[in-house]
Amino acid sequence: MKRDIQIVDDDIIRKKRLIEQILYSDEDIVEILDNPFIDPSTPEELVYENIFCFLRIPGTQDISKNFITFTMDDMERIPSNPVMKTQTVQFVIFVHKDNIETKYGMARHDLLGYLIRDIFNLSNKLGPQMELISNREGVTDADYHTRTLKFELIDDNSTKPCRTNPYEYGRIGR
Amino acid sequence: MFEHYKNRMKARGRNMSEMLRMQSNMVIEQTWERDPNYRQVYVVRVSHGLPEVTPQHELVDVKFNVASYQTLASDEVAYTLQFRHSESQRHPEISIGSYVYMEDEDGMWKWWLICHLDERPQFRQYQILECNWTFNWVKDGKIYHCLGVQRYQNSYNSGAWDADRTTAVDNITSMWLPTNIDTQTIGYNQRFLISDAGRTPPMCFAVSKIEDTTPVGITKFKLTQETFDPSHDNVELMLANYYDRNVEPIERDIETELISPAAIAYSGTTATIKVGGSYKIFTPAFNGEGVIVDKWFVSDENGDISADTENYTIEYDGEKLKLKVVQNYHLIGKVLIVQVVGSDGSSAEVSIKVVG
Repeated sequence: MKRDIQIVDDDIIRKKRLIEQILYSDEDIVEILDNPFIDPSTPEELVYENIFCFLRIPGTQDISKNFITFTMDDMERIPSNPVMKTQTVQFVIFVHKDNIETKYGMARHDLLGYLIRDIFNLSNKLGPQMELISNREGVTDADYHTRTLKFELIDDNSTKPCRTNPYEYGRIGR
Repeated sequence: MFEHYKNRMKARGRNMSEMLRMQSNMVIEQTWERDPNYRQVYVVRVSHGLPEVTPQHELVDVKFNVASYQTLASDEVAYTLQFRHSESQRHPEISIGSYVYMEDEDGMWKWWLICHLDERPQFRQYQILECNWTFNWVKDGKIYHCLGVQRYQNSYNSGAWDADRTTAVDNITSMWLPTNIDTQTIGYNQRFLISDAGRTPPMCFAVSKIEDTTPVGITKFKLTQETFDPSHDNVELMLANYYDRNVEPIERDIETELISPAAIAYSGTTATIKVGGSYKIFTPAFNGEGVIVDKWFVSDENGDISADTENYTIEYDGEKLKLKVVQNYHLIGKVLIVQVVGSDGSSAEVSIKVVG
């Protein structure tokens, strides 16, 4: 790859990497995701096992039964100030019906929802402040229960020093 | 004198039936080598890997009998093998699940598999099937091989099985393998590439049913057809799920596994380390008593990385080594080799891939 993957000029990729890291670094989330095949001393192995940076519907053959998936969208430019945009981060928690019970007297999807809200709501972990705008419960089929948390943040709209594409004027790639 | 007479009479049989059976046995023994079905074979029992005739194996007399003849309309027939009376007591390897190495009428030596013991009142016979495929599979990063029988059944059907809501392709090919530590690694959904050379893409099968104890000694696997998946399966080596792991699978070497003087265990479940992740802890184990770690080496394709403190953090915790990779995405794809050398000179190594 000729582009520098260390400095990816894409705020969604950077923020998703950060969210992954924040999720697996939280001991309580590792515990409540409850994957017996993951060694708690290497929680990063939860990524693509129980933590997915894309929306994923669990398959019937999955060994892991609890998932946190998250997606990120740039929604729109702010009409009054086009250099800023609204962005949403949506977490969808899937918990299998057999795993819904926890030893803490609360449902697992609610508990994971609380942990995510506790970590991210009103925090500046991704740069701008995140604000929870919806927190809904649902089901996907007879087996999986879900909780969907949506956060909104206002960030700069990929502003550049000048409004040109660097590849077109020879600053990169020659 | 009377006791001697009693013993002599007992040796001939305690009753008429037993006497006749003993006489039949004597006749069979006397005429054994005159029978056109007479063969000399090797019987080989394997606990792992492929069968092999070694100087320790000796030729065993058998009769190679036909029970019924093959027709295209019937299920594949088995042949029978009759050993000399009480031969199995002299050769404990004669049992279900053992291989038989036998010469055919053209002088070609072929492998057969003992699949069933026909417990008839006299002249017990083993049913045997000709080994017609070497099955190769990958499990937990190791490559396994087993010579077995791909057995077809000619009960015709539509080839598809309809349940209430789903339709599945029904394939009634089954594979029969001896039960041993290799074949016990095969579980449900274990995939195999089984097809003639040159077919692209190759045929892929997955295990859908396992029968282990009928009879004890043979494991029967039913195979369901699947689609070939080039991102997981290696067509050159005809190995399914070859690319499942980040590190290429290796041939299983049971001798090394059993008598390896040293080994390294690592934290986590996969042989990977994430950039910006936590410490991966490597723990050595030595077979020799009182052996301690002499040296650790961590290297990539350019050699030792211990001086590269910018990208890697290496710490030592007693006998253990802890390795962390900084969040440098350029390092993704590197394969690090962690090697330990014990105070007795024994060594072990593991390959760890850097992932993002």
